[in-house]
Amino acid sequence: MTRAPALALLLLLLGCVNGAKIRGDADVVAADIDRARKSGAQRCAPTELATAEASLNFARGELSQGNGFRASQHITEAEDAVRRALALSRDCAPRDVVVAPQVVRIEQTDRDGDGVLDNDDKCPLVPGPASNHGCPDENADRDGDGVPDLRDRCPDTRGSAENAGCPDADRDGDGVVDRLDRCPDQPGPVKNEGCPVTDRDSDGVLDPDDKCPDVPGPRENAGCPITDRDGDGIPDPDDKCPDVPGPRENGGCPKVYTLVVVKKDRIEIKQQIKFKTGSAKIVGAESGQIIGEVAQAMKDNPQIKKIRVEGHTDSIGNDAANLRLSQNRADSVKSALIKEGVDPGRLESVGYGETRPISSNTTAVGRSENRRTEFNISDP
Amino acid sequence: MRRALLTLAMTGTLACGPLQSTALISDADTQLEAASAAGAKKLAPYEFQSATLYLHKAREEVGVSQYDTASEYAQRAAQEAATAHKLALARSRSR
Repeated sequence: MTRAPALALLLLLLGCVNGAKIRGDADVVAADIDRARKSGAQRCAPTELATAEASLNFARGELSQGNGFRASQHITEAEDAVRRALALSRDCAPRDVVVAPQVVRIEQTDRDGDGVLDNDDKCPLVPGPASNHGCPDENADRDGDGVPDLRDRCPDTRGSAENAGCPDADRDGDGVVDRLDRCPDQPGPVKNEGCPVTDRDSDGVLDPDDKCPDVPGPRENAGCPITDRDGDGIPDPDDKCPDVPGPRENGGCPKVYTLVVVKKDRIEIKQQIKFKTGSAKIVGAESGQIIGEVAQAMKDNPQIKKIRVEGHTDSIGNDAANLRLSQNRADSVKSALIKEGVDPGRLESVGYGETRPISSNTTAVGRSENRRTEFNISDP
Repeated sequence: MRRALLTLAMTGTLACGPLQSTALISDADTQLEAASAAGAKKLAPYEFQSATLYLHKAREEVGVSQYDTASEYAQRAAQEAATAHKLALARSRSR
C-alpha cells in the first residue's frame, strides 16, 4: 500500500521534470525561429519555417493538455524544421542592400542602362524610354535620319536607309558616297557619278559638255572646231554662204560680178579678153573691165593663194609661134592684173599654145573658143 | 420521461463538439483545396504549409476527442489557407 503512492509521486516528479525540459526546449526553438525569421526564412525556407512554428505551437498545446510525449515529438519536429530553416536562410538576406544615412535603398539592376530598372523594364536588355516601359519606341529616331532606331545600326549618327542608318563612306571626299561613286578613289562631281570630269582634247570644254570631246573647239561652238568649208577665211557659223567662197564684207558670200564668176577651181570669165591680132596687146574697153573684175575677185577672195593665168591659141599657124604668143598674152594679162593691184606673188602665167583645145579647130566657132585666156586657181 | 429528455439534451450538448469541429475541418479543407488550385504551394508556400499542418493537427485532435483544440486548429488552418489562396492569386497576376 505504501508502494503505490510512492510510485505515483515518482511518476509525477518525472512528468514535471520532463515538462520543464520540454518548455525549455520550446523556448530555445522559439528563439531559433525568431532568428530564422530575421534571416529571411519566410522567403528562403517558407515551408520549414511554417513547420517549425506550427510544431512549436502544437508542442505547447500538447503540454497544456499534459501530453508530454506528444509535445516532445512536436518539439523534435520543430527543432528539425528550424534547423533546416536556419541553414537555408543563411545566405538569404538581401545582398545588395545599401544603408544610407536616411534611406535604405535596394540596389537593382538596369542591364540595358536605360534608366528603367530591370524590374520595371519590359525590355530589360534593350534600352527604351520609361514612357514606353523601358522598351524602345518603334518610331524613335534619335539621329533624325529617317531610319527608326530599332533598325538603325548607327542610331546616333545620320546615315542612309540603304546603309542601315549608318553614314556612307566617301573615300575621295567628293560628296558622292562610295556606294554610288563609280570612281570612289578619284574625286568627281555628282553629275558625273563621282568620277573626275576629263577634257580629252584639252580645249577647255569638259568632255560631258563637249560635243566633240576628241577634237578641240571653242566653248561657243560646244567644243567642236569651227570649220570653214568654203575656205574663204570666214568660219562657217559666220559665213552666210559656207559652201561658196566670198569676201567678209559680203558676209562670206560671193560678190556678184557681171563679167566673172568665182568658182572653186577658177575665176571664170564670161567674155574673152581681146588681143591685137598676132600680138599680146590687150585691146577693147571690155577686156579692161574683165581684167578689172578678175583683179577685184582676187582681192575679194584672199583664200585664193595663186592664180595661173593661162594663154591658149587655135591651131592655125606655127605651133612654136602659137606657144610663144600664148605665153606673151598670158604675161600681158598678168601684168595688167598687177597693175590693178593684185599681189604679183599670187600670179603666174603660162602659155599652152594650141595644145589644150576645148573645141574643134576645124570650124570657125570652135577655133574662136580655143583662143582664150583662163584664170585657174593653182593654190586654193 | 424526464430522464429521457435529460439524456437527449446531454447527448445533444456532447455531440456539438465533434459536429462543429468536423464542419470547421471541412471548411478548412475546402479552403486549402482552393489555395492548392491557385498554385499556393509554390506561390504562398509559408501560408500553404501552415494551413496543411494545422488541418492535419485538427484531424489528429478529433481522433483523440480534443474537439475544442481541433476546432481551434481547423479555424487557423482555414485562415492560413484563405491567406495562401489570396496571395497565390495576387502573385500569379503580377507575374
